[in-house]
Amino acid sequence: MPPDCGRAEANGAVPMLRRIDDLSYRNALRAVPPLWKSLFTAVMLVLSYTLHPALQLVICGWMMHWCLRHAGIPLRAYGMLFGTALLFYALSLPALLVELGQPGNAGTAMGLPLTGGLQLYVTAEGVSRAGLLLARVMACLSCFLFLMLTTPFMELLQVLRRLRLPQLVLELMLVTYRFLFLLSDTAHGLLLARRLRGGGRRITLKETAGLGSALLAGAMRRYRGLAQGMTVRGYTGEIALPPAEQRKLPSGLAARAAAGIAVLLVAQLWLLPALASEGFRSCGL
Amino acid sequence: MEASLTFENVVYQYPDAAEPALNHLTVTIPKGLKTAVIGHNGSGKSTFFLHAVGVLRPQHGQILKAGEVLGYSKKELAGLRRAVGLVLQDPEQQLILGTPLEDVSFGLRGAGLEEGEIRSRCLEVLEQLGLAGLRDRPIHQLSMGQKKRVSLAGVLAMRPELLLLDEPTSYLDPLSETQLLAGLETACSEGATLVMATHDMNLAYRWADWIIVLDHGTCRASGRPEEIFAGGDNRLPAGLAMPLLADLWAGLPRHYVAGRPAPRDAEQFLGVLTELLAQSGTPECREDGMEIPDKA
Repeated sequence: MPPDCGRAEANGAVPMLRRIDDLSYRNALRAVPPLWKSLFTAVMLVLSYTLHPALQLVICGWMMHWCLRHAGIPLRAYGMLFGTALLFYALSLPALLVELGQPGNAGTAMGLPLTGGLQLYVTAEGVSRAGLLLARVMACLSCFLFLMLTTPFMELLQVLRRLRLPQLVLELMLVTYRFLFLLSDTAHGLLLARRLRGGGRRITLKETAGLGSALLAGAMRRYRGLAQGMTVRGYTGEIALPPAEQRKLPSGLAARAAAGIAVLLVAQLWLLPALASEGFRSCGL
Repeated sequence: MEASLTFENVVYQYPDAAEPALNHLTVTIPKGLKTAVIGHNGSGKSTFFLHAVGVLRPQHGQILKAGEVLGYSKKELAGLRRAVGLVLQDPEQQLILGTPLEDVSFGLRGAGLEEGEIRSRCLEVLEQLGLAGLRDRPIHQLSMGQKKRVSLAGVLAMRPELLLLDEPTSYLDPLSETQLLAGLETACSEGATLVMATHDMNLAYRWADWIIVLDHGTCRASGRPEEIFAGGDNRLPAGLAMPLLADLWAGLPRHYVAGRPAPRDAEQFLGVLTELLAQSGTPECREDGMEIPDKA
C-alpha cells in the first residue's frame, strides 16, 4: 500500500468528495495510463451488463481486488463508499419486492393480510429480480469505483477530451468539480460556526432554512469570486487543459487484465451453458 | 518618475452602494518601484486593483498604462492581463486546475506558449516559491499559505510588467510570509513593478519604496514612506496605526536624529541607535549586555 493512502482514512471528518479525490491522487495505480484504465473499466462495464449474474458477482470481487490489492485503497474507505452507494439500492428494495393486492396463484414467499382480502406480499419472482439487480448493481459499482479511486478527475477530463467530448462540456465539468470543493468548504464553515456558537445536535426547521439561505449566499459569493479570479488570470472563453502525460503501461497488469477478461468470457460461453443443460436434465426437461 | 499606471479622476460606484468605491481617484503608480497601497477596509483598494486589470471599467475618468488610455476590446484586455497580474486576497478564487503544476500553467497555456516553455517556466517559479515538492499534490490538500504561494506562482509565471497583490500576507505564518516576500524580490529584481495592498503598516514601511494612502475612494497622500509617516499619523486616515519603527523614530529627541534618514527596518534602527549611544558617550556594552570596563 502506498504510504499516504491511509491518511485520508485516518481523518474521520473528511467529506466523501475529498476522500475520493485524495485516494485518486495517492494510489498505486496512479501512474497507469488513464486511457487504459478507462478502457478497462468500459470493457468491464459491458461485461457486467451482459454476463451471467454469477459472473457479475465474480466481476465485483475481481474489481474489488484491483482496488484493494493493486491500487492499495484502504478497505474501510472502500467499504464506506461501496456501502453508501448500495444504500440507494436498499432504498429501492420495497418498490421491487413488496406488492399490494391479491396474490392469486403467484408463488408468494411471504404475505401480510390486510382488510378486504388485500395483502402485502412478496413473490419469489420479486426476490429473484431483486437478487439479479443486486448482482448487476454491485458489478457496475465496483467498475465505477475502480475508475474513480484510481484516476484523478483532471486525467479523466483528458481522456474525455481525447474521446472528442465538446470543450464546453469539459469546461462545465471542470468548473463544477472545482466548485464542489468550494461549496463543501462553505457548508463545512457554516456547520462549524453553528457548533461553535452553541448549536446542539437537534436542528430546527427555522435553523435549517437559515443555514440553507446562508449556504446559497456563500456559494453565490464564491461563484462570483471564482469567475473574477478566472477573468483576472486571462480566461477568454476557453480553458486550455494540460496535455496528457506519456506513461508506460506495466506489462504485468495488462496481462492480468487480459487473462481475467478471457476467463470471464470462457466461463460465459462454455461453463454456464454446460451448467444450465445439467440443470435442465436434472429437471427432466 | 516614470508612471507604470495612472488613474485620472476615476469614479466607480457598485450597484446598490450608497457611495462610490472610487471617488474621483487620481493617482500614479511609479514604474520599477515597490508600492504599498494602504487604507481601511472599504477604502477602495480592491476596486482600484480590479480597475487596473480591466475587470471593472471606470464610470468616469480614465486609466493610462505607460501613457496610453486603456482599451476594453477583447484583444486589448487579453494583452493587458498578460502585462498586469493580480493576486487576489482569497487564493481559492483564482486556483482552477487540479495540482499546483497544472494550475500555474493555466495562464501560460491560455496565452498560447509552447508546452516546453510552459513546463520550464512553471517548474522555475514553483522552485522559486518553495513549492517544488508540492507540484503534484491536489490543490485542496494545501494549506492556506501554500495556496497563496500557488496563486502567486500562477501570476509570476506570466512574467507581468506590473504585479498587483491584494493583501498577500494575510493568512500567512512568518515563514510563509518570508518565502512569499523573497519570491517578490526576485520578480522585482527582474524588472517588474510591484504594488501591494496591505493593512500591515510595519510591512508597508519596511517593504515599500512608495506608499499610496486611500481613504473613501480617494488618494489621501502618496510619497516615500519616510515622507508619509514623517508627520506622525496626521496623513493617515483615522484609526490606521503608525508603523512601530516610524513611531519610535518620531519619539527620539529631534536634536539626535536631525538630518539622518529614518531607518526602515529593525537592523537599520539598531545601527543608528548604537551610533547615537556611542556619540553621546555612553559606555560600550558587550553583546551579553555587560558594561565594558573603562580601559583607563
